[in-house]
Amino acid sequence: MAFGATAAVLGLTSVLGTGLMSTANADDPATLSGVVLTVGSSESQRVVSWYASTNTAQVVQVAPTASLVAGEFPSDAVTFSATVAANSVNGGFNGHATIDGLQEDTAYSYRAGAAGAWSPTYSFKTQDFEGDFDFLFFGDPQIGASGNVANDGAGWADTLNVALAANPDSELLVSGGDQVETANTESQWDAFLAPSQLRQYPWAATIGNHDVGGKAYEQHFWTPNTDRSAAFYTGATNSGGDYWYIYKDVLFIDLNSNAYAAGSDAAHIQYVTDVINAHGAAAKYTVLVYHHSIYSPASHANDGDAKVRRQDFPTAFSTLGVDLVLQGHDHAYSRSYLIKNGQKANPDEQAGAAEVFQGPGGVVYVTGNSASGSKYYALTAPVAGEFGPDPTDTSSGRKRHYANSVESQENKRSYVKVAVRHDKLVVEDIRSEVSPNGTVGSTIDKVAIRPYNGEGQAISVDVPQAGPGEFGWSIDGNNDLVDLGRAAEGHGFFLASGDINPITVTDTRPSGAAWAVNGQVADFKDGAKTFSSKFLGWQPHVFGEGAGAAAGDPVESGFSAGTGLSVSRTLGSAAAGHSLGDAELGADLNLKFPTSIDKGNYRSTLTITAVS
Amino acid sequence: MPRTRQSRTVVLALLATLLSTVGLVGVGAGTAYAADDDVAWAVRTASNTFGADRQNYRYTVNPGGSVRDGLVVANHGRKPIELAVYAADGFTTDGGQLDLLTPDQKSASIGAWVHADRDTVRIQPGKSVEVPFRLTLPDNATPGDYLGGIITSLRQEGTGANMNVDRRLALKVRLRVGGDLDPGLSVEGLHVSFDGPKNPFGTSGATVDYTIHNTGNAILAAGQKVSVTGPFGRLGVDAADVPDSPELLPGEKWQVSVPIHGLRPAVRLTGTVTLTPLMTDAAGSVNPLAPVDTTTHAWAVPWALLVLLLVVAAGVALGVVLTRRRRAEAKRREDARVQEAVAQAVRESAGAGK
Repeated sequence: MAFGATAAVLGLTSVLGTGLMSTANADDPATLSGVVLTVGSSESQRVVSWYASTNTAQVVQVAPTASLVAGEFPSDAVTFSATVAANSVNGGFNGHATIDGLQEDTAYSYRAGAAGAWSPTYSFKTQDFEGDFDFLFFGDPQIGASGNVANDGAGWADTLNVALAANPDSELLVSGGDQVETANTESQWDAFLAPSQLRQYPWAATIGNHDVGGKAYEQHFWTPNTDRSAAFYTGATNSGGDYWYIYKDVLFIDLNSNAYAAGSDAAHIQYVTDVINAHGAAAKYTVLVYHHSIYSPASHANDGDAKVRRQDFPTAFSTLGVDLVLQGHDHAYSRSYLIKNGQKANPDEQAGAAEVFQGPGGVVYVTGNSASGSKYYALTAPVAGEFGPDPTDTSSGRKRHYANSVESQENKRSYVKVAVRHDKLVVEDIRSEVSPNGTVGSTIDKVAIRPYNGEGQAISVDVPQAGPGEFGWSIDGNNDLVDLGRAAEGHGFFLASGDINPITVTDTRPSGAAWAVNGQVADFKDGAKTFSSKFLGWQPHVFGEGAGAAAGDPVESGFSAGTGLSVSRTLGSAAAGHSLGDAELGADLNLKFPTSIDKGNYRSTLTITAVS
Repeated sequence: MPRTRQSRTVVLALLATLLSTVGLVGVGAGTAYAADDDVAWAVRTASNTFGADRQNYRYTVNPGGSVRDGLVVANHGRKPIELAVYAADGFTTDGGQLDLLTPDQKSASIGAWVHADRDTVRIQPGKSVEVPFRLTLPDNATPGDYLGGIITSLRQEGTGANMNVDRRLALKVRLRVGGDLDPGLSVEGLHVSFDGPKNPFGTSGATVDYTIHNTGNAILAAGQKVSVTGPFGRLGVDAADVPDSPELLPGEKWQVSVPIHGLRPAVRLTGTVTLTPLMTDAAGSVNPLAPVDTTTHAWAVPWALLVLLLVVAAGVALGVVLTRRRRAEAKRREDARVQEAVAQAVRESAGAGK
């Protein structure tokens, strides 16, 4: 199973939106609807997605809000070309564009469409690209689940209003899945997308079981770094895939948990493993998000897939150092104890503790309640022998499940706020609707999760932030990188061999960008006399493995045939997502040239270029 | 870390040493250097409002627009170094990697549009220096994708060696100029060559050669599917999984040669190459665009079978000829016999009539 770069064909006929110029002879300009701001691959990106009536050229235009004059975009507003594809359900087209290169602490305005047919102007703001931030997590809005789309939509809008009025500087809205009740019912999507906050704050979409069975989810949301391999639910009528992004100090990994048969759990674990190995170093915390809760407080607790996943997932997540798992599906709130390898990590942890210390392998699992009030599930009794009761729960009647520190069902709307701080994650379940237990904005549950920082750290020291990573090298010797020794005469040719002195490539940038070291030799010259550099060939080696280095292919001297090192050749390279560290590269050189070359004192230049 | 240094004292002078052994020029002896002459430097993106931990540079800018940014260069060696700083256009090597134009080649885009505030930077050991630069697009910059790099270069010349070594450490600059984005790939020079089978009833192979040409203005990789079919679309064989091409810059070409196995001789073959343009967006997800089909036809004459058929046909023909000859002879004899019999009868009849 190939992961990462695999991208299955969506089966859509795509055309690329073109710019302003081409609209003169285009058909009727597109009418846009369902505009939504979604998350990009980092804090400097946003993705805008929408529905369009036609597949004409479309763009997203972006400018700092401060540069707009009387609502008009400046002439130098940047245009991001959109990809427009035919919808495979419900007709029409969908477009999306990635806004890239945003600067921190800036308010931006944007609009989608084309000249003469723009969407309304919307805005968002970026904040400091480093340090603390808050994000909000919303359990299943599932618009339409009550049978009354208008009511569900109103509840959803109210939760967003309450949550963002209280936390206007939140930076992400994270989905627990089940945006709608029936995957392809656009009236439900319209109600889901109606709140204006979905055009101001990036929505990090998660696919729920009600979002599959059709392509509408994929038509509405474009997600970053997405792997649509078959194990993650590719199919003619399914949507989704696994994806990841890094937002400031957090690596988010979002799984399509609808894929659970036929080895999909193993595939998800492999995906999480690969992403954490490649990108975990770039973030302080790892947060997983998927729909189907495994430590579910209500009736989904004993679903077949949940039972299997309680076996499949927890040990891997503990081993990988996941900090927090956000889940949906059960329309009730739960917060687990620190769970290590599927068991309560610390027997002394008290139910409802306000602060927990992760220790190695401790993971907190949270299940979101309904954010819209469209449907609630009553808390269920644990089933002995399966998802059994917590022995520390001495209350009479229904007890908590063994994994859970807190379980709550007030049949009122709520949302989860996660505060990311340099030394902790603070998870808080907050009422967005008044209940007998509290007012709007009051807290249902709150816990500070202190990360594990290694063994024996009795003393805490504030260390200044490490410098950003670098791409560099050290080269053995200040000059004379190349040593070709002495030539020997063969039958009709001269032959010399030698090597280039080792080059140590160092890549400490946390993101593991692809790099390559290439070499190219110019023709040898002595005044007007010249001979071709093609006669030089090499055999690259990786002497010291690291930084994902792979040796380039051997290149024969062009004495018999070929171009040798007269064109750029790879000494060593690494693909994107490689590990950090050093690689030592070198090459054996082989110069074979005809005896017919005129006598002279020839000079040439070997250009070694490392680029990343 | 340095490996062995036994050759350090005879160092290089690539051709001087080399040619001296064949009596062409005098020996150019190198100088011995101590290990602390190793050079070590590193580059990173400046920490500014674009962020603190970018891996390299990427911008979307409209024609006429400009961006200011910075490159941080750190000297990790033990001696001061002086490096040239400049930008150059990129290209994809035959091995599928990005490289940057050498100083003697003229850059038309990134290399022409990115200007560092200074041409050289001198850095003390253990220190780093930020070099500001500006990317300025001309008003008539053509929309689409560009790739290049900002280079730091340590060049040594005229130290007695006949091989100058230009060491260049660079960070990528990926630029999209706003406006019409028009991705396109085409297949050029599609050619199918058929290897006739030795066994007249066996299968055979073919090789499909072509060049992928990025004809649009977007950076694209190509998903590839290659098949060969016989007359009327029958006897089709698909190539085993053909890997995606590397990302190609606008205008670049990439040569592909795909072997096909298990073909039945079919006289006339049709080779089909289907390319799916794969555009990776800035957020790292892949947009597969509408596939492009290209076909060609090739003669796939099954010579071994033809020879066998010829032999059989010749045999049949010979048989027919022989049979005809035998029949003709038999007929001739029969005719002669009949004629003789008639003549005899006539004679007898005449004799009887007397």
